[in-house]
Amino acid sequence: MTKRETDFIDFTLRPDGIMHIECKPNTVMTLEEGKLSTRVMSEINHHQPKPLLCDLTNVIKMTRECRHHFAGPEHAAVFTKCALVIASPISRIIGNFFLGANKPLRPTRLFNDVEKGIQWLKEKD
Amino acid sequence: MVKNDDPRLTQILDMIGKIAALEFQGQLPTSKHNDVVDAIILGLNMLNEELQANVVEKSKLSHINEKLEKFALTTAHDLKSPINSITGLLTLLDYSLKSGNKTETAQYVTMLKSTTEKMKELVVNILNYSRHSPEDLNIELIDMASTIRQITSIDRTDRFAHIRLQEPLPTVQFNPPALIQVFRNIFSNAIKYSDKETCEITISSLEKDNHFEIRVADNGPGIEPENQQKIFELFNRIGPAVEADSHGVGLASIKSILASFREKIWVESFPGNGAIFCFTLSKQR
Repeated sequence: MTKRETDFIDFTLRPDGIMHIECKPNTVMTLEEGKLSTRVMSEINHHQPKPLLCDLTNVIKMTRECRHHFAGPEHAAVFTKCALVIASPISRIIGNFFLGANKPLRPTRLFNDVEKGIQWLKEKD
Repeated sequence: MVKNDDPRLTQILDMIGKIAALEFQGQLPTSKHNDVVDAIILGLNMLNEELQANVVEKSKLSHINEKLEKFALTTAHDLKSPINSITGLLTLLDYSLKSGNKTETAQYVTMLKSTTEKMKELVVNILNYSRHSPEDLNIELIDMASTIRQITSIDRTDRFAHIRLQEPLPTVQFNPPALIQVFRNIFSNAIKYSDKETCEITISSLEKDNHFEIRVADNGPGIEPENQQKIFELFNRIGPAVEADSHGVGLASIKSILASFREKIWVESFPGNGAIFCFTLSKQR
């Protein structure tokens, strides 16, 4: 298990090969933070894309530029599929908005429950 | 539990009203409740941002479309005129060949050559206007005085005008063919529209904080204040340009070249007292 953290995000590469990222309480995701998280993920993964479990529950805002970054090719290079965990009303609207308006390049789904997200990530495509 | 008197609900209702009126600028403040109302506010804010960005994008596209439409219409119009002439001349040539009138045949062939040359010139000018993109252009140090001497020598401009350099002229960082095109167009305009026995052109420069201002003065008829912006529009047909059978591409072309390097061009003129074409060249690039 490999762990790293930035001011806003905890990164964990789990033994089953899933990259788990969890935002800290009251996180505002800006483009700068978004780019940093992409870079950190890529470094932990040794530049090999992995399934991504992204817990947005504690995010209170994500800027338009950051949403575009997460839906774009630079970020798509670091994961194969993404389970977004949205267990709060705000993260729910961010997740729904992200899927609806930004249309990420890799398969992405919303989950209220971490375990269900992991189960989907482990499914073979 | 959300209460009906929660002030955030009034804000939400107001914002929905604004969205309905296609006003997308506003953003609502979020509280620290992290509840459903905050989530709705955040959603409305994000929706507003996306809609505003779409409006801006649409407005840019609409402007580009208008320019393209104008470009296509005027290009077609300008090409139609010589094609009509060629059609007429071919009919006349046909008659003269059938009647065996060699003098007329020779005249029509000469006129056909001249018309096709004009057409070719128009196409070349349009291509020059469309081609330049700053990414493709190399920047070099250019000695302006020697570049101007090179142009006047190659074009043999001394046959049509007296060109005077107020030295020293600066050494600038620019793309050499682009700078040559800028000077060549300004010189050829001064010569084309000259109403004096001798066309006088004087090139000088003023050093400013961050750029040089290059000034090309002529002793021509000058340009009316109301036309001083229009002459830089593509396919303009203004005053003497109509009489001189101009395509109205040259000045638009050099404005476009300079704009692609974030430089400006303008004209200073009092009708009857010549014109000064001024453009900027940054010191640092």
